[in-house]
Amino acid sequence: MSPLGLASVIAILFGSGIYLMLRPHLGKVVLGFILFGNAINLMILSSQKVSVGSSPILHEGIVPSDALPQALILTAIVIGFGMMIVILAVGGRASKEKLSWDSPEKTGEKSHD
Amino acid sequence: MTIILSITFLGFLFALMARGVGGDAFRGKRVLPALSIITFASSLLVFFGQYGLVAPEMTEVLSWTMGGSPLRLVLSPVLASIVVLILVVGLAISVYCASYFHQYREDEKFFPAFLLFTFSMLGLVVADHSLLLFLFWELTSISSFYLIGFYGQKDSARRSAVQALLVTGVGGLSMLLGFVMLQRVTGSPYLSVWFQQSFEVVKSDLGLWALFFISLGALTKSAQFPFHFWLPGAMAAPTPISAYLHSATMVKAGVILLYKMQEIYAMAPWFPLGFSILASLTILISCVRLFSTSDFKLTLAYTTLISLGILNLSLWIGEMAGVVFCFLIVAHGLYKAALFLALGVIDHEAGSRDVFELFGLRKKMPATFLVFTLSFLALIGVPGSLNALGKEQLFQLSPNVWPAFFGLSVVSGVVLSAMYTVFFSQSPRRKSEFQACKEGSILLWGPPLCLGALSFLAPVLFEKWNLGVNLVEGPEQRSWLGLGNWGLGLGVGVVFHLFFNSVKLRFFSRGTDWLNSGLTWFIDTLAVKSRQFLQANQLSTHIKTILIFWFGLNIYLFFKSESLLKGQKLYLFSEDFNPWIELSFIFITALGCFLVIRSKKLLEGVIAASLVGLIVVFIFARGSSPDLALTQIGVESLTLVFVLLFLKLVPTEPWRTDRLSSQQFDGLIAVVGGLLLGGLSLMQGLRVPSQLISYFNDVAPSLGQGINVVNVILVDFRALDTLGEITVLVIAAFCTSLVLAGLFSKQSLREDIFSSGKPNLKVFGPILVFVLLGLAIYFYFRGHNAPGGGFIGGLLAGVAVLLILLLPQFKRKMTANFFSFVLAAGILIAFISGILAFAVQKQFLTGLWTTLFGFLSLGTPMLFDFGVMLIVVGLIGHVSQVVFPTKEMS
Repeated sequence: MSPLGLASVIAILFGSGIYLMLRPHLGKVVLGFILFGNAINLMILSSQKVSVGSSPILHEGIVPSDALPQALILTAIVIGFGMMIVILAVGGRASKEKLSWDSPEKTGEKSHD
Repeated sequence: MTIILSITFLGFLFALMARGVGGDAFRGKRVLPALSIITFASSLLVFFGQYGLVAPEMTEVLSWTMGGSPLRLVLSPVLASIVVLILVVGLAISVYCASYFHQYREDEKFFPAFLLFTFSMLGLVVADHSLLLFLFWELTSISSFYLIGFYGQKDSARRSAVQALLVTGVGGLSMLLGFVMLQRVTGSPYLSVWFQQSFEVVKSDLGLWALFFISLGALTKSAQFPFHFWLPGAMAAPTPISAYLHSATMVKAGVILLYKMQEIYAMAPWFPLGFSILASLTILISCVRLFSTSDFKLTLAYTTLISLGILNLSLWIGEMAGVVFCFLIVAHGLYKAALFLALGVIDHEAGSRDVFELFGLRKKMPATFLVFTLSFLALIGVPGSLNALGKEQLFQLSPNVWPAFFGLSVVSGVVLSAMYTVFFSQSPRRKSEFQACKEGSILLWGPPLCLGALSFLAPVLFEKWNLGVNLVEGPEQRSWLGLGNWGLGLGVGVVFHLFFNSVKLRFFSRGTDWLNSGLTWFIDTLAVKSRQFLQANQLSTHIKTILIFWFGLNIYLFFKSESLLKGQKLYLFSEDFNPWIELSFIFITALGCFLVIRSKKLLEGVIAASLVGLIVVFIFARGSSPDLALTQIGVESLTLVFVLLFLKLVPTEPWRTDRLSSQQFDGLIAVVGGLLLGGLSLMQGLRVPSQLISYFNDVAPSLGQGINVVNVILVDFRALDTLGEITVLVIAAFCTSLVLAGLFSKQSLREDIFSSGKPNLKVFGPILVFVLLGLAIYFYFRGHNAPGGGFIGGLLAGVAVLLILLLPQFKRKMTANFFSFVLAAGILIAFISGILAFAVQKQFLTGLWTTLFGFLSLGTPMLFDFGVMLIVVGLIGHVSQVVFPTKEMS
């Protein structure tokens, strides 16, 4: 992958992810979180040279690709998955307790809790 | 000294464990006070056994990590005296609390926090490494927060605890800032090194600012003006806690820090003068405030403030400051603790602390009266007491200590007056229905008696203590200043006694509260207003604030640093550039994101997001990351599956569109953010190869016994990070099951899935399960040398488990929390695989390999990987069991 291509994909994912996370509805926030996570993972990937056709597995004759960002991204993917499950569970429970997924009105002169 | 610290820390751990263990019979036997007494007594024995009766002057170095700065503990004669003081007073209080806290479970609350506090206070005194000192400093703040807010049901107690925590916490942060700055100036984090370089420190601007910030920390902790207002509020704590924290230990921490850095401050231009002025102001204001209360405990609090001011003052008088400081601090600790404890006896037995309500206690509580007399004699500095030595040195050394002179007189006078009222007068000063009482048990008045007696024994012990000063002075040292002090004290006491009831005086002294209330109002208002502006009760506003700040900072830094892009060639295209593939990636990503944004329901959005995820899989695959591609596809599918499973929980109304203006503004932020991060990733791709990867590539086949470097890094070289990560997964699993408990009824979801009439899943399901399980095991085993590994195997096995829970062919005999055991087993196996390395004296998580039958190589990383797989399966299984319950969950 060329850096420009990867950067474009990251830009699109990140922009959409942020836009969705700023919506006042929890469902869109969850979707934005998924896209955002993907963007960050790709960004870690872009920190080193991304070559096509090589492999992080050390066979003879193949130029090894950079394994360290891959290891970091792998943990990031799995943790993102865990987090997403938790968000969905908490949101689902809240919905069952008749709490709306829409954001409340903005505060005016509300005193502190 | 390390041994003593370990003893106190172990005492804390045992006290914490004793909370959950044992029934009522266990508790009734006073286990916790006994534990505390053992801790203190053994610490004292170790101390004197190690150093004898001569004051030690030594440095202990603990290196705790390779390549970091070792932790150093320093003991000097003065610091050693303080250590002994802490231990002795702590021992006395442990005995005292055996009787004081007799209500149900009170001592369980008290002793762990008490022991933790002792541990942190001791560490604070002996720490030489500045960051270690900061750590202990904050630990004392936290444990004293628990101790002050002990009677948590009372609003005033909670407020006082929060106030104390806030003030000392802010001071602690400021102190940390100062420490970091000093480390920049001197190049070392050790206080002893700073002392050697004090000249350079004082000459540099940065050093002076650092000293200022550190002084803020010390002043807040020791309640000097203008931060003195939290100390009276902290009297909401039970009396033994006040005796320990606010007389003997915690508030001394600030002046102890000033003592440790005394030489540096003495050389700096304005600091000694500034400290003296603030100390004097503290003394004077506290003298005025003494008129405002009739609560004896508050009176003692104000006298503590005065004594702290005197201690502060004593540091700046010149050459003998260290010795004077030592005498005064030990003397004050002993007599003030005795006074507080004795007052606690009165409070405990008579039920009141108000001098207007207590009268004639001399006959009813003779032992307590004896204690009070002894402590009072120590307080005024009767010849033979430790305080006398300190006072005499103090008065003789400098004429600038007149505030101390005045303060000491006021203290003695006020305490005398209060004692007269409480013990001698025949009728209450105001009418009250107060009843008479009897003497407390020996456990209550015994410890303060010992402390009072120690005030008189201490000079004898100090002779051997080698403080560098000749203590055997002749009678010509008894100067007229001491006598004058007593005379003034008597006069003040009489005046106080006569005029105390005057209402005007009390209003006047209460008026000095303006600083406290003003500061509190200011901080409260600041907090509320800033929260309203920055967060406005909306998640999106909160995120927007963070994002705008983050983006702004990035853009500013980009324009500020000239060298970032100059002369660097920006690589935009690589050698394997295939424009069609890349353009199609970009196009499908854009399409997918567009669909996600425009979705009106969660399911639509997640399907579109899965499309995007699929493109990410292809990017990973094309970018030579097979493990990543496999993991991403597994996670993507499981995300979709879980959203489907949770779908009945999601609100069903389609989503409205938002206001156009907010859409535009958010869109602008999103565009800026996207461009920013895209640009950042472009700049990252400047082809600076990481240094580590060549090392890993070289070492993986030999040390790591594998050629899949990703897997070797994950489960061998960087196994500690992975261990943390799987702990996160376990927490996520338990959180989810707890949150969703009972929301899914037994058969409903299964019926929904199978009622559609299509038989495919029922028929082919079991085959799929076995294929998936086989694949999972296969991927697990080959992970070290080919794409695969524990995570991928776990994801596949997780899908198989999901099918098992779903299909009717499988008899689900597992218990409701079967997968909790799987999760626990996973963590345990991962831990054990790391601990095995201890058997051959290597570090935690070192990989050990053996060869079976000549060709089969087994190693601890394989065990670790198996633990990882179990945890991933456990996560999926545990959450699925909530959705498809195997038994009715009550």
